[in-house]
Amino acid sequence: MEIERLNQVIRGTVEVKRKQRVDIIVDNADIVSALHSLKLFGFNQLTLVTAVDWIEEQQFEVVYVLYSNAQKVVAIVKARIPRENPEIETIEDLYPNANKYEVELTEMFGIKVRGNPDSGKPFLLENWHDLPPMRKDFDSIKYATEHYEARHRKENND
Amino acid sequence: MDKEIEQGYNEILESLRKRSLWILHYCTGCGAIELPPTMTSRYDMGRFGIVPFVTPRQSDILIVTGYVNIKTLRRIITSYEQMLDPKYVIGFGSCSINGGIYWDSHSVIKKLDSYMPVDLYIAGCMPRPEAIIHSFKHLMELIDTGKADGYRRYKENYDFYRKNQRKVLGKWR
Repeated sequence: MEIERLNQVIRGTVEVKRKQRVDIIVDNADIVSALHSLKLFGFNQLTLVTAVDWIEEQQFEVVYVLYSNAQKVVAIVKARIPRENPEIETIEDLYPNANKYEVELTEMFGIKVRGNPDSGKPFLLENWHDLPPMRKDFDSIKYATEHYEARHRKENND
Repeated sequence: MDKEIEQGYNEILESLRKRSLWILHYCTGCGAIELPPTMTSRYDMGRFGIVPFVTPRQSDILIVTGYVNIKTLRRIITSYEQMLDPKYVIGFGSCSINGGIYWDSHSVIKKLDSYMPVDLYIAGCMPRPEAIIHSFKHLMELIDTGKADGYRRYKENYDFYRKNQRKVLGKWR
């Protein structure tokens, strides 16, 4: 594969990590066009869509993991979006299996997905009225102790 | 006199009951991986008359194998209520006792016996098939002596269990 050619078709930074691994860092607005170019390049499988919460920089990093069956190369597309009112565009038209990953993004990180009809519907969490649980400022221990009864344990086992 | 006859009848029934226990084959967590060796020829729980079965209506034992999160709790309560009396619940592994390694998770309950009556707990992460066989034999003793009365406790303290279930599940029926 001519990985170097990716530089010419994608607006962003293309870094060849290893023989079979490419990292691509793009702007928020270029996610869909970059994924579209990659799909034309032969990256036919979407393995994962997830996000990383960089709370100190007040940013979310959306991560798309793609795989090319023909060339046996993994491409990881990363984009930073602001943490306040985070919104991304859907890629359901390109990769239909992105639907559920995007629903999960909305539920676990609170990232809204424009164009995905299922975004915002309850998927994994039931009866949830708190911050999205995968955010760094969500206090899991506090939530668990408040909501779920703990077993009383003895001070010593003598 | 009638009471004595009834008591004797119940004793005979319970000593017969313990010889044929069917497990509801519903696996909630990672503990399910210890059940196949227990079922198959190495440990062979069939020699005690214990076999896995697929529907709740024909089963006697519900084994809660591992962590129980909110989504699972709803399903196991529904399954448990569909089972016919007498029915027994075995809490399997440390997750069902006190949350185990999921003690700080946002979606895993920590104390199973506030949501459904548990007759027996098996400690460990994971309990070995020997421990499971031992617990079955202990459950048989409990049934024989009439101490495995979880299904009666569920009926008597229904409000208590329902209150705790509503607390985590919201209003669901």
